[in-house]
Amino acid sequence: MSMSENFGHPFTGMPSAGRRACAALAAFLLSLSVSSCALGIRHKPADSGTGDIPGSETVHTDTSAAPDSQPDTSAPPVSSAGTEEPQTSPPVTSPPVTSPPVTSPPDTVPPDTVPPDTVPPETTVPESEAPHVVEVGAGTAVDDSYFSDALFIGDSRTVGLSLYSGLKTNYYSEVGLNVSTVQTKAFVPSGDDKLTLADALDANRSFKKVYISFGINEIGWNSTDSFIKSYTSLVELIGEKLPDADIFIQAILPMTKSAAESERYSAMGGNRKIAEYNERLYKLCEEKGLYYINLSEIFADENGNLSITDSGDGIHLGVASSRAWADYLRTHTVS
Amino acid sequence: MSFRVSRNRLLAALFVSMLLLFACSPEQPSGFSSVDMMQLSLDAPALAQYMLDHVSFDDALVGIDGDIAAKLYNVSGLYESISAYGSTGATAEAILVLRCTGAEAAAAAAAKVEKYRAEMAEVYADYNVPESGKLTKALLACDGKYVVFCVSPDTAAAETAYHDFVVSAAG
Repeated sequence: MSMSENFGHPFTGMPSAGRRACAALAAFLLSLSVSSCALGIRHKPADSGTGDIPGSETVHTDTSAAPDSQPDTSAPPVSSAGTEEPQTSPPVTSPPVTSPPVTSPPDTVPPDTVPPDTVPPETTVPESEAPHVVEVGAGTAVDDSYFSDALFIGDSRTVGLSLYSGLKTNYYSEVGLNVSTVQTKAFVPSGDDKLTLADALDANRSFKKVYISFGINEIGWNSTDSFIKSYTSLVELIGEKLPDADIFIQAILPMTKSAAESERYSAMGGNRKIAEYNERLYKLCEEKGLYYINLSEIFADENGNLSITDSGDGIHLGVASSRAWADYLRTHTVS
Repeated sequence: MSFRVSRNRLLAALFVSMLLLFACSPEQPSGFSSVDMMQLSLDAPALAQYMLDHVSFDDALVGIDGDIAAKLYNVSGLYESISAYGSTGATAEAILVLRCTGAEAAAAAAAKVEKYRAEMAEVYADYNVPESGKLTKALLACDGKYVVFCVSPDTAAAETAYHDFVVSAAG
């Protein structure tokens, strides 16, 4: 079965007639200045100010701006609530750069302040140009109950998140795991045994949100295509087992400058390789209708290096940074 | 088939019996012949903190919530008190102290921790060999109703710290 048949993602799995209907609905909603589109795309939080990705197809709901000319910007991203550190700007090398916050949500503009004849032409988004991926924007922090039906899958960084972030949810993670071994190794605890990911998902199909984080253990791979191929296979596996779940791909966190420039990691490409992987992961999200969590917003400096100060080895996060990661996730959700 | 099942059960029963008889003997705890570890009341968090303070680690260990640690080591329901520290991920270093309800529970918990240690040693063998070595040589003690697990670069120092703390508490 194809991805579009298996995933529960509205765009990829929607018949063309349904998409046309949704396109019409979206046009109607846009004309009413509703702040989110209805083309089958998951709604971003109402107060989300980020999420438009330069170079990607997006629906602009701010009627004060041309719908297809949202500029790239290096303005600081929306800060995540509750995070104490680190203070960073988006990485220059990271492709998904967030747009500045929308300071005047359309629905707050009094309808009678704009003469009818100056209202921009109604924006209709051709079906073929409709966005099917959203970089999850910032919004109001959710309660942790939001994550009760979530599953986090990842390597040692996710292990750290499970141990130190305070985010109590479901974790299938192990030190040294990579995007290939996660699909073959029995690593999910089940009583005194361990299950493969596929078997574990067969045993528990209740998850509605799946957050994936892999990449740091794969930077030594010779081929970016191999990494993406394995990642795609993983996403397809999850989509097959959990067809109704939203899948979030979390950007690979970079390394600190010193770690990236170490003999070991510089030979592998360091943070340049990670940026390359992230760029391809973003495209994977576009292709498959997944969500992209741009953690680089808070963890990368202007040069694309991990900017935290509580990492012992320049790769793994300390307690404060783990909590900042969880806080970021709490404020970057979809409804 | 039935013979193999019976044999497996027999081996399992024998293994558990060995654990109960030798791993956590309340009368002759390993290394503490003069201390009745069943009667001794140790403060698990204080012991874990003492080991953190008196053993050198390569990583800055961080306290782990008790429920999360119990899940990590698969020892839920086997302890009265738990205290744990772990690495941020850079190393396999760890401290775990359990005060269990009795010697049997301690033996069962120690078996779980031993299983964890073996699995992690295998994981690190492919990932970070020096850390696998730390796990292989780690202190895993089961004395009376206590289980102490310490993964560090210096297992002798961990044993000394554990011993000193117990002797001081018994003294």
